[in-house]
Amino acid sequence: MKLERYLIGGGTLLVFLLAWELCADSGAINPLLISSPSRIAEAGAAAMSDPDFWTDVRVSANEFILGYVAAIIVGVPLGLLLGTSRRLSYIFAPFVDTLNAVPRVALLPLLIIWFGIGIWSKVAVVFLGAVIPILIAALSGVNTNEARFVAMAKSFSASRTKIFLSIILPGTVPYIFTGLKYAAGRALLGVVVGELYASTAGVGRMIADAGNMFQTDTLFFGVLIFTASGLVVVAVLDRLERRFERWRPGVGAPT
Amino acid sequence: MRRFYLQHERAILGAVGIIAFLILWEGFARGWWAELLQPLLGPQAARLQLRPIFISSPTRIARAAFDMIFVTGAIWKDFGWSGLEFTLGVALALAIGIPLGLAAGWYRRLSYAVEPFLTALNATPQVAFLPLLILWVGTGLACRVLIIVLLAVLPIAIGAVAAVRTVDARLIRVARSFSANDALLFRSIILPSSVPFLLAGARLAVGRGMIGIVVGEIYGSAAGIGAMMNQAGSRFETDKVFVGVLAIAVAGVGLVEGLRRIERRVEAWRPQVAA
Amino acid sequence: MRVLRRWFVLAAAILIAPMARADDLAPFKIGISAPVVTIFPVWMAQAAGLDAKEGLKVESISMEGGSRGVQVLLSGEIQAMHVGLAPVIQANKQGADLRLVTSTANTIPITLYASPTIKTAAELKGKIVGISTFGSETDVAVSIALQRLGLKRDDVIVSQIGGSSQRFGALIAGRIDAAPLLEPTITAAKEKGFTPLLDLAAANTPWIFDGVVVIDGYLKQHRDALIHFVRAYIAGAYLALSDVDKAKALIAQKYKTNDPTVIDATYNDFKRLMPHDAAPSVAGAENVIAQLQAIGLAVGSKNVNDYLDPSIIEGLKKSGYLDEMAKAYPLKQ
Repeated sequence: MKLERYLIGGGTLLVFLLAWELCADSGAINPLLISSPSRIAEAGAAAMSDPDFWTDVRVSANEFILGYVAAIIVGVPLGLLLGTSRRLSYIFAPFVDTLNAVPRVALLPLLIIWFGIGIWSKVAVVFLGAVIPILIAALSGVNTNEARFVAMAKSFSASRTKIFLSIILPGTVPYIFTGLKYAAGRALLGVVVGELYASTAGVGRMIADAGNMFQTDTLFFGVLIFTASGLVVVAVLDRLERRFERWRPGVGAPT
Repeated sequence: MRRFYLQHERAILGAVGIIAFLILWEGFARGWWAELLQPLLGPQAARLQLRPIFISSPTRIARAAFDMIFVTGAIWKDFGWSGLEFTLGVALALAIGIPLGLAAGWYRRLSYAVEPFLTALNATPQVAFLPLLILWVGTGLACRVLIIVLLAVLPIAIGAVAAVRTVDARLIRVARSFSANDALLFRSIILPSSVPFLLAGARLAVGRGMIGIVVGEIYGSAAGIGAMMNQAGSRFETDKVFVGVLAIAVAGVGLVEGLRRIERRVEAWRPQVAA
Repeated sequence: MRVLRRWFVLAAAILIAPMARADDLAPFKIGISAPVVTIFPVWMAQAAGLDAKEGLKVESISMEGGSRGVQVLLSGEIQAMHVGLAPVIQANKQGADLRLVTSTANTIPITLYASPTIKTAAELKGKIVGISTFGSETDVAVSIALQRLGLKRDDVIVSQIGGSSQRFGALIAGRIDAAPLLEPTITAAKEKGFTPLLDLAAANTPWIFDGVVVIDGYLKQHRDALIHFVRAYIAGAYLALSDVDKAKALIAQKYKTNDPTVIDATYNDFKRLMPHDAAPSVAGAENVIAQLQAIGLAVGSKNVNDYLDPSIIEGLKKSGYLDEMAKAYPLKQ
């Protein structure tokens, strides 16, 4: 079963790559437009021995990490707070809803004039992109758990703090992880769009420059870097989530 | 009085939050807070006045919006272009995503075959393909439609896969025992029960499409809300940038709310399949 | 927005361990709109260590667009921006208080080039013209050029590409069909057989194409730092004018070229454009204001003193610094 899945998946991927290579090499489609796996590999090897490439990678990684971590630091506590206080959540709802409806990359023209062209405008757009899904996930985690367990816990006359710490907080963990994964996608998007829009370095910048110069091979290589980053981030979060799952008391689980 | 408050607490507190925020904002632009705290902070208070070129102000934005909507009418052309891009992009994404997702959900082997591609595309910030799309089709309408398709197709396809996978196996078995063929099965069971999933996917796709509008118009100068905001930003017209942000917010909230209503209606109307 | 920025940087400083750097030289960051010939004094001053003599450590950052650079200047990320007057006028219209204190080109050194397949201006209809960013000198130049060629702006698609070398790269690649170019790409385009559609430089239009721009508040509060920078900058210009070999070696290095034709043309263009006192032309400023209105852009104040501040240059003239430079770096004929 599992073998079949890998065989079919891997096989299709291989056929696709071969067809791509053949199309480009035979000239059926202009390789200037579609590049080819071998050309991309070559461009990748060339880039990796170029110190400028590593500067780009470092800049993009910094933007992602700083923005994303800041979003977690702000988003999780704020979401939990809004979840526990109905009144506060009513006051903040219009802002959260509006920000949620606007693609935060639309704020880039303003972020440049606020934070400049260096990494901080990108950190800001990454932060804004990631903080809303995280906040909403934490908030809805609290709300759902409250609805489910609080009546029960109250009947055991547990204190509010105790209910929150022992029941609601652990129960929000899966929600928060869902939010974190979604937010990671938004954060990467912020890095790319921010750098395409205005930057002096970064992998997004590299892609934009490669596009303007018709260096399709380098362009694809840059896109692959982002694909790999996306896969790695999600894999790391999955790992963390499983660890938390094991650690947290099985609230909803049958005893 | 108290009863009225309790009944409308959500709306009242929300409105209070918005009004307080707008006053705070206006005050920063007009220097109200700088003046107010002058005795307390001394010369430091001047920092509390921020230039409109940075933050604009609610009244300036309102005036700019009024101008663009009623006086020059410039925003309608932008709305028209962005709306066209969005409609074409989301329609194409639906036309590709739904059949692909349903098929991948139904035929296990097909899902194995497309899985690596979908996983890779899902992990990539799809906007990174923008420079490539420009090489292929230029910066015209096609490019902007395609970037919206790229962004929106995945949630739709994934929703469709989930829809098929969650169809109650018992229903299928029953239908099979009445020797229903695939086509009939599909029409009578799978399609109706997948509507909520498809709608949820479409709701996500709307948000992604909005991103597509903004991102796709970064390079081009043709009209469009994103292009307008970009040009306004380059000419330091912060008021207009905010008008663009608001326009997108209104359109986004409206579309998502509309889809939610449809979802609820479908939910209510739909026979309880799993019950 | 410096208040906001400061908070942001403060928060970030807590996140990442700040690296203390022992450096006696005061850092001075200047943005350049693109690596074009008109920012040569900045490069020359850096390369010859003239900035260090003035107690500064100058860092130049390419913004790939003048108006983009002005946005960054307003954010407080850089102390000065090397840019033309057109974006300054547009920013001040929206409430900024920018002042241009020097100039390295009191005319428009731009030629509009099209790909070899395009022979006449009429063929440009429906084609893509690359600029740096909207509101920049290149954007304004395209509007003026189109007007002179009898075309409307709506006849072409204007696309943001980036600085001169990016636009030239995009032109070669066929990504765009036409672009306003400066040296050294003008010579390179000539060599490659691209079609010059309009040479705005030929008319010798009075203009202020590139110069040091600062926020008025900075001019008042950090006048000393700015004077030191301008001193180094003028010394750089004089060094480049007098020491041809050194200047050409720097051109070869900065533009990564060994082509003597390109290097000579670039140097000659610099020599032709650079006013020896680096003073911005009042006639140029008046013409920029007039032309912006002619292409349909709203202008705020029409008083050149709301955009230019010649006091730094005048001060250096009075103190005899310019004569000193003329003596230290004799110009060969």
